[in-house]
Amino acid sequence: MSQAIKSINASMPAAPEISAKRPAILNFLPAIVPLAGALLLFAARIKFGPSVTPADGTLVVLALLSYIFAAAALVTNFWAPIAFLQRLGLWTASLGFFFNLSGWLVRWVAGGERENWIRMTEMGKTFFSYIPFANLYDLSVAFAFGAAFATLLISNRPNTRFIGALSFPLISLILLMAVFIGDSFINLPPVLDSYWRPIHVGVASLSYGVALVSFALSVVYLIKDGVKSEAMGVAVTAFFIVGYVVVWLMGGFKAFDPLSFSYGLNPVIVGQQGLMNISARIPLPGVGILHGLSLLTLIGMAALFLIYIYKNNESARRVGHLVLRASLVLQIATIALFFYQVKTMTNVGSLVSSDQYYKIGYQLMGKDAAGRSNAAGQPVENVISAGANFVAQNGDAMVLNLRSNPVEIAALFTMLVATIFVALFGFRSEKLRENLPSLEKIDSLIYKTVGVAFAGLAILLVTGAVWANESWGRYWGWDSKETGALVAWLAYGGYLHSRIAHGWSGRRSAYFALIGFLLVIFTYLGVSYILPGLHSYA
Amino acid sequence: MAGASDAAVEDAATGVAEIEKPRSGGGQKASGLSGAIDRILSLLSSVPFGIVLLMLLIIACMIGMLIQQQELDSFPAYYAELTPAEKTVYGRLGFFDIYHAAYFNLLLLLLSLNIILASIDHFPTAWSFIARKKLTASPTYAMAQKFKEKVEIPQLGRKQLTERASEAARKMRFKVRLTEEDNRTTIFAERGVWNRLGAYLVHIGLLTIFAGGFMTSRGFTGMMEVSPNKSSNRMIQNVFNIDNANTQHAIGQRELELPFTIEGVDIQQKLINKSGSIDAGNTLDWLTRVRIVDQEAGKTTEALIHMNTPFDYRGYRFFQASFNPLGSARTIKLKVTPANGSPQEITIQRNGEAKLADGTRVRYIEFNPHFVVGSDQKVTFGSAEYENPAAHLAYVTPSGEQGDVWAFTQAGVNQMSNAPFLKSKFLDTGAFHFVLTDFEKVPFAHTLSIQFDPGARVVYVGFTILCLTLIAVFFFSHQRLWIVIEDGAVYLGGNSNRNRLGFEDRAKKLAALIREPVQAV
Repeated sequence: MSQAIKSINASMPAAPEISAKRPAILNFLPAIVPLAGALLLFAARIKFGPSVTPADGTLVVLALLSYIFAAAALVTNFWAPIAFLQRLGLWTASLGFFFNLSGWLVRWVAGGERENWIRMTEMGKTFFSYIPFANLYDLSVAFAFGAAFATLLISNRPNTRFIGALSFPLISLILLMAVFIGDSFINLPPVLDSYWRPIHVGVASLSYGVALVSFALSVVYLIKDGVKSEAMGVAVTAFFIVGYVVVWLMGGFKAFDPLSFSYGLNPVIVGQQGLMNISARIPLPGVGILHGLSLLTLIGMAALFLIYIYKNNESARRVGHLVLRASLVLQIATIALFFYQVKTMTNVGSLVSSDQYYKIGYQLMGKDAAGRSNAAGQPVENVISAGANFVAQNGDAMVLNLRSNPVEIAALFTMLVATIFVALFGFRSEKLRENLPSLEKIDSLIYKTVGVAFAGLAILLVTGAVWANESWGRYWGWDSKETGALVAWLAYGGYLHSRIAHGWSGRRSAYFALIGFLLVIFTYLGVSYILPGLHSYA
Repeated sequence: MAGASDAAVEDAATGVAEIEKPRSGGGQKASGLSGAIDRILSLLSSVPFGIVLLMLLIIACMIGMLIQQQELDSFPAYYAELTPAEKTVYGRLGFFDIYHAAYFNLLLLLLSLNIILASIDHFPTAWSFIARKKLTASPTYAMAQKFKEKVEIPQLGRKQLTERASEAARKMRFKVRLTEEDNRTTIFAERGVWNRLGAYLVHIGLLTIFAGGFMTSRGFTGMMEVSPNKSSNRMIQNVFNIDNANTQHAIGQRELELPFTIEGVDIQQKLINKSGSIDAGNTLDWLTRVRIVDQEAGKTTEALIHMNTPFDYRGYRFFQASFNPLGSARTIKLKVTPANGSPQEITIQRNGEAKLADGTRVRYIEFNPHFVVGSDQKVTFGSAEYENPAAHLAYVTPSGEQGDVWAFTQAGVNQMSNAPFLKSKFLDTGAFHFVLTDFEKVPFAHTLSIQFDPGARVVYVGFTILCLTLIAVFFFSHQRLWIVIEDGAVYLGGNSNRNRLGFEDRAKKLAALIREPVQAV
């Protein structure tokens, strides 16, 4: 497509995409139509009750499927620039956005009905008390539609539609994690029942969404700027290794233990209140070995690519790509075996090893009102025997469930998708580069999205601070979620200033935008998942 | 639209972005002290130095997130699991309280200085966009801009084209200024020039927040437990003390005196399921009613504090912070059966009184959610849960006969009938038989957080400035277009500091407007 535009540009000053007559609003239809549709569905759901729409969980799954399809169409379009494919991808994404937003809105009503709207009838609260911003599932669904909306808005011109090829895979991963988290409701902690919640979390989901788009754009910028796919392979490997190291530093490995090559999930007990996660790990036979080998092949690939980059050794590159493919196969096998084991393993309770009794006992003893563990003041033997007794009594009820460890399961998929993209970028990368818009244009889009994300994160921090001051009595307490959001904001601040600092613009700016989004993700997941703090629910 | 050639033509005064220029002072070697001050100042005011400070701040914050901070509830357990070497190293580096470490404050101070100095350094350039507008341009200049377009309409003269172009520019909502020269006319079309100043206002907002934060650090916060009929003018503050040499840490408490007294009037907990537990998970709200008795001001104020609704008094703010989870009852309902009479129902508030039909006064003294009798024959709490609820009552009959008694639920009464000793000691005492028929659950006490924060207002002002200016900066842009008109030809060239694609759309539409009517003729 860019070839065509270039030649027209040369002969005719006005680019064909701009016409004084065609109203600009038409270009925004893929973003506006689903928005309107979802609002209509919302109104119908309120007026006619649960029978007129699918359940919120179903809508979210439909959204996920649409996004995956859209991502595939748009990625293919990178190499095969066919207008139909692009349009198909765009409108499927648009459909996905409709499902995604509808799912969230339907959940709003379902959440209210679940409590019989008691907050509105008895406490003088508003409809916004039931806004689905209560846990990580809600926030992930909102994050996904925020990012989808931002992507569709930016896709308002033909030469910016490429962005969906990168942002929809990321959005799919977020929604996939949401599906693994599961759509069961939680009782809203009273401190969260404030009118600041829709404002604060709403700003979060939209600015996180825009940040996701800026990340995708930065990756595209680096590809266009000639960063080798091999260098990206090294970066991806480094990212996962750093991730493992951070998790280990924060209190030991979780699902995967690289020392014993075992990969385990928490067993769960299905009760009336939903799933109860037991803090033991049930190793899934074979999965740990496959996952370990996937990681090792990634590390080997990174080493070979480093040799290629620094020594310009062509055979290292070739072997590196072979190893990359091997890692892809291994990762797919890991995920396949993972699902097989989760679905077929029985007698899970008997697999709890005795060295895990302490952890279980620790969990069972719970916390006192101040949040301190009750087990801390107990002799170790008591804690262990409490755990052992529990396993003896409830071992039969323990099962494996895909919803037990959503973040870790989503991480498996994220690694796979990242590896796939490294492989894709290595495939006919010259042609890929040719099909991308100019560096300047991408840069201008990054600047725009980072600007919006920066302003959004500032509002997020400010609304969070004001809310905290109204309910906890301090506007800033260095809570890990607060600090995380601040750090991401600072990274974007670094990006903005790198543009006016001599010699820092271009690629170095793009790195700041990349890091900014990784920090957003760290704030969004890492903080709830590995750090203690006030935001532990979401 | 290649970047390199454009950049070369761009001159500093009209540049799209303000590019950091190496300071001229760096070239000439000034000697001695003034040279050193110059170099320090030029470092402090440079944007790259600011970026380095930002990165250091990011690293410090990451350390603060990954290493638990001493005020966290989970800190004692975390600290206990660290090795002595980790305790010593982290402790000496101040990592357990990094946000209050001297070097962290120094970092913030340097960043503030950098913001101020760099702003002073860059401001003249931004101001020149407003004060010294470039009103004329040559076709060459216009064609060297990032956006450029030439419209040729041979049949129209300079005057007609000028009219057409200025009308088009106004239609596209540009501010238009016309300059006639001998051989050409320049229309300087501009939008949103104030956007150039936005960045400075953002930084003023940021500095205001920093200043407010400094003022807040002069304030203090404490906790006070409140229950009905209890009054106090002291609040408790946690004091953290880490002894690096002995790798020990301790959390102490300190009492702070308030200039007024808080009297508990009533505490209430609204539950989702009224017969469920008083855990946070089953709670809609906690409400605390207090009376603030202020001797200094000579007045008494009633206050209601509940979740997300603090109360302000004399610069102090009261928040609903937490609760003591020992189960209690806000009101109790009793069925009272006199030895020779018919049963009657009464309801008594916590610490309140009620009168029976015969004039006997019954007072509700205390509540025990899990009534057990210890080996020493004394009543104690079996647990904090409502396992065997009982209310302790005192009564005075009209004839002056006094006594105290426990009222149990019907289940409790039935259970006690199997234990004759307990029955005789706690149940069959006196002229009345009490049954606890219902009660409204409430915790034993609520905890208020009391904060004195002299900086909050300043911080809020900073927040407002920051949000408004950031929106103003990033959702608008400064767009300039030079429309150079000669006979039969219009040269359009321009740039925008932000939203380049949007600007170019607008400029292209403008060019199309100049061109279109002629083509229609």
